[in-house]
Amino acid sequence: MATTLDTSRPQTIVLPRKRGMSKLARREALVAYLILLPNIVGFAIFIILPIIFNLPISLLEWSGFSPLEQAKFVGLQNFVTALNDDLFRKAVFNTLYYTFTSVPIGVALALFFAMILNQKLRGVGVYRTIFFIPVAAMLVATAMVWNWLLDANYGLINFILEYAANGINALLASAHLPIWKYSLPGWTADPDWAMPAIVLVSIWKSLGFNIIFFLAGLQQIPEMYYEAATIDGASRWQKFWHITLPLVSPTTFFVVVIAIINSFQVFDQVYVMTRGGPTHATTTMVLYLYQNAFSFNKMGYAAAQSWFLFILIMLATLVQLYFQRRWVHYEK
Amino acid sequence: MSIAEIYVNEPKAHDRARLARVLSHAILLTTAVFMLLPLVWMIMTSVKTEVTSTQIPPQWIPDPFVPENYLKVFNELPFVRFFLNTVFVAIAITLGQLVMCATAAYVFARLEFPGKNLMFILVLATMMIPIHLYLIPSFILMNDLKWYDRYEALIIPNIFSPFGIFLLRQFFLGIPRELEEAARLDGAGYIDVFTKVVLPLSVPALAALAAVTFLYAWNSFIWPLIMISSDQYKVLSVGLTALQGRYVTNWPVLMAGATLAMLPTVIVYIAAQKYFVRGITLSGFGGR
Repeated sequence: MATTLDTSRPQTIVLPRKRGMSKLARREALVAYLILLPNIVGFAIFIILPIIFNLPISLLEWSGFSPLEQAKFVGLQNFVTALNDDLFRKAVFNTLYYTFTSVPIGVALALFFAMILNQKLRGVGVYRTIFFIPVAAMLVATAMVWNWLLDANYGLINFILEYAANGINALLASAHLPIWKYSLPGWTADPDWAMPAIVLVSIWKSLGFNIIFFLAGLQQIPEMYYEAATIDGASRWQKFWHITLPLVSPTTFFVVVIAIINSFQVFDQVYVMTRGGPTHATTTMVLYLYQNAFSFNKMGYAAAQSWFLFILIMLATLVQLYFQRRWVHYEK
Repeated sequence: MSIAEIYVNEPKAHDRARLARVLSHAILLTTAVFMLLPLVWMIMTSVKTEVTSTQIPPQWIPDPFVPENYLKVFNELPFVRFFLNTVFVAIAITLGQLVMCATAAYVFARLEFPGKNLMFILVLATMMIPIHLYLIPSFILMNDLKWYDRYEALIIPNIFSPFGIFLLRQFFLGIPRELEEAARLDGAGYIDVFTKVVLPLSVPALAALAAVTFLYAWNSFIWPLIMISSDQYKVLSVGLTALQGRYVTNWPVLMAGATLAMLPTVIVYIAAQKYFVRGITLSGFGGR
């Protein structure tokens, strides 16, 4: 290369590059494209193509059985139908109900346990392992197990609850107080209790997953902040409120964003535990989308619903990105 | 508890520290029981009879001990087939992702070429769009490719992973360039540098990706539910729902099936815990 000969005038080094790539750079680019080729083809066919085609499909009335070319073009009809479909609106409501119960409770519990697990305690490694086991276990299988645990008549959970309630009543009776007339939750058999049952399973399943992030975040807070606060006479609560919470907030933000994206797509546990019932109390957006596509043979309608899901997830993420500067504290 | 704290108000702080420790242990122990109870109860139920499983008060130690429930699972459904399918598909996806992600990640980390930034942004953008949002076009695509109800549908679309590329690229960027440049000066080509210098140094990151991918592949549900219809290609997660359809309230048999489906990943996790944890913290992704 002629450019390397004259090092006293740097502009001559820059100029030839503008005309085109050097032989070496061209070779490097060629190697790069060749190595990337399988990935480019794979991403284009299996990810980008389906994303693009989701739009035209959502404009069709199509059962999935006839050839796609014979499907009827209906414009935005599927989107209008969705907005007027009571069951779709119920699915949106149920999804929001699920998200706004499971995420705050799940994230708060994860931070709480991460703080306990972040101490120098004997056997803390064993606890971490145990907390994480549900994350490794297959969700479909754990949902079946919870279905059994939450069985209204023979489930272990209701047996324990009844045992505890009877114990309380025995105490009340011995103190000559009126006894508590309780009724046990029907869980997945009761429209009011079915969604709490799903939420309970999800929190149990994802607790360890969220704890991992919080542990990593907590370990980055310098110990000296706590030492300084102690010398100033700060209480535990003050230390949590003024040191831990602000300094772990980038992790909290990340965990909340991921948890909300995942929650909007809840499917496995609903499919296994309730199939959306009883009386559609647990029909979530992905479940209804799945049913429309593969049970009711309304492919176009299901594709339109996936756009609503996409918009909801995007909105939720953008709102969080917008509000993060109000509460997320980044180290300078 | 810091040294400073003990120093400032000695006797009181000492007692408080001990109280906090006892309290922490109590909370952790109670929660650990709650976390493990479902799995313990699953295994206990799996060796009971239909009658003893629904006994009130519950029978804690199974009597009689009925391991035949496991045979029922194997005999009534092609569960061995489901099991082997799951092993095959999960391993194939894991190996496929390792090859695809490692090569792409290296190119993004080290080579210069026109369009690099745009392509990487595209990779990151697809990371933001979950599979549920384009399930229907994917289903149509698998039909058009004649991959519906075949291993190809289970494996090939799942070996392309923006998460994996991102995870490994971050790791490769942390490897000192000098090591590779030294090899280049000795006359090694791109492929030699990659396989003989970079990959051996990246074993921890590759193991992390492998652990997380295997978990994800083993446990995935909606994709095989949609793409597979015949027993020949079904995986465990879908097979379990078939078991559920057949043994609606025969809890011992259902729990035997759940145990078989769940145990492999739980064992693999306990053995390779640190790789799972690293894989999840590095990529923000894992079992849901």
